[in-house]
Amino acid sequence: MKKLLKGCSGVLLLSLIFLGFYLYTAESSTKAPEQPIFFSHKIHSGDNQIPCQYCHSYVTESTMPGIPSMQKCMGCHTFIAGKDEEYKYDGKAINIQKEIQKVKEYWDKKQPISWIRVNYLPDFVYFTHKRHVLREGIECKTCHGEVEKMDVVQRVYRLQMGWCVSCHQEKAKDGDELTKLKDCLTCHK
Amino acid sequence: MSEIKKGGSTKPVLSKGEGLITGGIKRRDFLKILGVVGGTAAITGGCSPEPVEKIIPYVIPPDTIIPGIPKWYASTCMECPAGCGILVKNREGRAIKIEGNPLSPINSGGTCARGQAALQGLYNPDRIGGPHTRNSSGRLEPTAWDEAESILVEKIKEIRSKGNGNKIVFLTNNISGSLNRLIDDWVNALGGRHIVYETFSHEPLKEANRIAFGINKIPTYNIEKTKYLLSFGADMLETWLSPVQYARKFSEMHGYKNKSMGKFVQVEPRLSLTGVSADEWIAIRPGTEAFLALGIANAILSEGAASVTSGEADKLNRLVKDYKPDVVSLITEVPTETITRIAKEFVESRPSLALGGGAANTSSKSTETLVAINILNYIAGNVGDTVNFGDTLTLSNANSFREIASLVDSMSKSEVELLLIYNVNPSFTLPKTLRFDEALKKVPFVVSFSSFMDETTEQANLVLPDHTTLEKWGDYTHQDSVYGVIQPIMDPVFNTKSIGDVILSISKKIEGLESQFSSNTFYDYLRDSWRGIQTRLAPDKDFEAFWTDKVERGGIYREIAPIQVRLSQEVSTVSFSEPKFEGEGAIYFMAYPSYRYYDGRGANKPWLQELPDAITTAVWDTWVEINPETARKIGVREGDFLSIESPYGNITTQAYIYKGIRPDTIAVPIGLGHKSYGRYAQNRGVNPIEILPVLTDEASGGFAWLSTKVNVSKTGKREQLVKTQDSTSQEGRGIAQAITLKELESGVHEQHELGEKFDMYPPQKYIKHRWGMSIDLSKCIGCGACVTACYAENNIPVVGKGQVAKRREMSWIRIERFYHEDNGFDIRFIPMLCQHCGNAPCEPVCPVYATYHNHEGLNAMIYNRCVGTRYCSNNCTYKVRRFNWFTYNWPEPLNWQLNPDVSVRTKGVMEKCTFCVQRIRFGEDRARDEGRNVRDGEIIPACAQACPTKVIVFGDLKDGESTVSHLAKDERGYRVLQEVNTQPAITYLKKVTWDKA
Repeated sequence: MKKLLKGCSGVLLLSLIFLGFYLYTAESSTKAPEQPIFFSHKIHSGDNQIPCQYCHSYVTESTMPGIPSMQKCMGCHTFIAGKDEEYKYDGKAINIQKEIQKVKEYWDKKQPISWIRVNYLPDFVYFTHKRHVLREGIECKTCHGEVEKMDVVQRVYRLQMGWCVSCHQEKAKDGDELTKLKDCLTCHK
Repeated sequence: MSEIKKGGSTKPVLSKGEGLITGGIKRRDFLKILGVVGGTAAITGGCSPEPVEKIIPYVIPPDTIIPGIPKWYASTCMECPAGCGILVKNREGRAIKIEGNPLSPINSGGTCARGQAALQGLYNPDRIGGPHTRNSSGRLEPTAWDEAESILVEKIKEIRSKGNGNKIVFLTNNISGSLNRLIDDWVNALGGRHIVYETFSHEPLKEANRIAFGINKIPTYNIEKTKYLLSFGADMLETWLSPVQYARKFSEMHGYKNKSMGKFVQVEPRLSLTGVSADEWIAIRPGTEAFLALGIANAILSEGAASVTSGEADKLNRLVKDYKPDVVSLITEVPTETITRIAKEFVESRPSLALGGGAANTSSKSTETLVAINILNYIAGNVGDTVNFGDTLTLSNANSFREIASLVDSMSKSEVELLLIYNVNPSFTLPKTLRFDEALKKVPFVVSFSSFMDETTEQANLVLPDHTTLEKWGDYTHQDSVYGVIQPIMDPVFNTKSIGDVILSISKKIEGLESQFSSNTFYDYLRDSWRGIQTRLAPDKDFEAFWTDKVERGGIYREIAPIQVRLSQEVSTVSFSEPKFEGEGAIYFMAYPSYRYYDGRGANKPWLQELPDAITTAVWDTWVEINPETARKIGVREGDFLSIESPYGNITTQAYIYKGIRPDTIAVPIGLGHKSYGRYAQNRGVNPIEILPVLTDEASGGFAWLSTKVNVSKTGKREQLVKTQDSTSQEGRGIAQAITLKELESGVHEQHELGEKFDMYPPQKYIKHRWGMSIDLSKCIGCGACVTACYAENNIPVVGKGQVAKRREMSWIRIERFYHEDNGFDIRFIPMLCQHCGNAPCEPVCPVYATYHNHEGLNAMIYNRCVGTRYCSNNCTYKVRRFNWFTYNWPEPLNWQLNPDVSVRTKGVMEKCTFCVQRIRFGEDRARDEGRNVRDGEIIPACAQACPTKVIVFGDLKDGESTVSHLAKDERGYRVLQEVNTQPAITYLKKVTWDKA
């Protein structure tokens, strides 16, 4: 029995080391995830100058920014079919028209697109978009980077607590506000 | 659907019964493995992976939903016949919290524990998922709605073709409103009958009112106006007629205000939860209440203090002349001087009010008892003042128990061919001796509309599960002055269909019914019926505007003044005698309705199972209350299993030794003892109704609840009776304090110094707010609504009986109860929760700074910092911290109810009351949006919101003008265990007692 336990532990140890290494490298990768369709923030927000809030419309009134509904996508794409040309991204050539066609297919089937989440916060963190966006001097890019320059959005900041707190410390006007901003209950409920 | 992540993300694990614990590795094995891999954990720990999550957008966004922002919808609670107005919180399409509707005159914003737990009916994992039909092998199997409906249509056609339409019976509870009319009309059109069965239908009340005043109805009572309340067994704070309404009115009447308060005397053999709030408990001999009422009336009349005409006085004198207080004293075992004193107080403190009814006072002579109580009210001039016959209850329309018994009889004679059952469970709520189950077997076709597999539904041939109240349209009238609207809060969770829609849809397929029931949906039918109401009440208004307004407000609320009523001639014909008791035993047997389960319908809701009974603090089981004297005689200790034997059977349950019950009486709560009804209800406790005789109140045909004498014997088996509080004594520590009126008047009481004491630590600094609370013990009735509301708001797990036995219950607020025996027998309640101490003992002992005092006076608890040392809990003065010994789970779809604004805690984490910090943040956020300060009373924690008697006041102690800071300086104010200098943010206001006369 003891031998078996030792053997098991050994295997466990090795596999954990490998797992740890794998995760470590995966973690430090900045590669953008492969989304169900090739949606380019650069084309929408950068080239065509569509304001962030046009699609993420609850950002000033709710804790959540709002992910555009399929109906919102089709509001434009009923009329915009896209150019029938190859778009270069990450060494691949993507046909824009075909990608937009995919959106139409989802819409015809009345199915939502399951996007892969890029910016992740754990369940015990209660972040409110509204309070941040309404505050002077904080723009979307403060936390999300220059999305208008990214074809596929990738995480720019890790959104971990140290990063949050350093900004809170910087922005505090006085000692009282610093106390408030550094209160754990600000984000953990 | 959208971006739900908080709360709802816990993975469900189906588990048996209450054991909501995931299986896992044993602690020892865990430690062994930890020793080996600890080092590795350190390597990988720094860069834990983040899970791949999906974001799924709406296809077409509902225009009423903004993810992250709650919506509130008004509706009507249907957990008991009281029909309180409710507001239900909807987040991202799910109902997550129920609160009382402040506009409803019935409950004025409060709820009871059962109302709070309606959500666990909606999301009950044991709901019937869709229509079922009995197959050839005799099992219920799922089917489609079209098919199920056509089975019923064929059945009806077959019965009608034989000309047996009169053999169709629709058995429902008291539903009132449009659905009641639809069922009435529909079953009449088929030639059948609609029978209304309520377990507690108060027939003697109606009959006594008919005899005394010629009105065959149940009135409403204006308890709030009374100065003296005399109740003969009416459990008005628990289940009687409209408990939330009467609790609120009682607190207005009895709460200490402006140096005075009303007096409340409860007459009953067992001190009930209602009786605990009384200033005086009269432990009367069971069944003799009528004589006490007559004795009091005699004393009043002989003093010439009655407000009646001389003719009436003569008539009444003839009726009561034989019942002089000394004679009555011998019958009732109530001292003569008590009778004369009550008589004096009753007429002198006007307006007064005498109430009667409830299981404690429902014998075979109930009607006569209530006639005697009516006489009391009449001679004190209360009828037309505190007794309101202008505003009567729809419960008056329920059929009597005698009529139900005759239905069972005709069923057993095969005179019923089709029985449709809705919202009642007679297999459970009728005494076994009535042989309902046998009679049901004689009915060729039984249809149940229940959404739960209860004892009756199990025997049905066809199950057409209805939506729960929170998923459908409807209306309900509890009393004439209120028309409540029921509106769906969310889409149906299961494949259920509203009973109204089923009736309308099958009518389309039955010849002769299509034209009469032409509405396409029940919603259309409902609106048509409200068009009628609008023409009557607001003929000059546009219907759409009228309808929208009423749906938004939750209904129509009117005021109906009491009408003047004269004593009828018939009252002289009443004769009084002692009721009949069946059985040869020496002990009166009382089966009383539980304020947690009502007639048993609440038993499938884990929140109610885990809500400790206020008096015994027992959970998840039944018990029998027995007087210590009797217990000593037969050598019984707490936890002993006792066999209770009536001529009709026997039940075995654990003893609870209770001083609040007469030595010649034992009592068992109704509600548990289910054979089915889902994992939380079945095979738990016993059902005392099983051993009751089929005995009715002779005059009214109501069920005689208290009509049995039993033998009690020890079985020899003994187990721990699982309860949350073992000690009944305060050990002289002054936790729940009280003060007499006299002391308050003279001002001789000790005024507590609430200021800051000398301290070695620097004082706390509060920047903008210091949140605090006050709890008025003169108003707390121990009902537990706050406890259940807290479970609902804060995602508190239910741990089950086994874990409660190990003291691992998770409630953040509890009702502590203490017995006092120095001045008669008296129980005190005190809600206990985190005191948010200014000088909290839990904080300095936390090695990881997971708990600390924040700048708003909150004792913060940060779950993700907590490593589970439990030092804080050890050091807590109030024992209010709870530790997660396991990761508890909410079986699908109970987890749909979880509040997304509160973290779901996992194994190894400490938790406790947060003063509902999510609500504080919500209030502060809104104030900031509107560019103003937080208003006093704007932020209300879940416990304070639910409280029917408004015991709890929450607010900012830093704001000198706030209600809570005034109350913090109240002359009755004290802080629990303030001598240890914890500087709590909660001020308790002492209970006020009347001086002993």
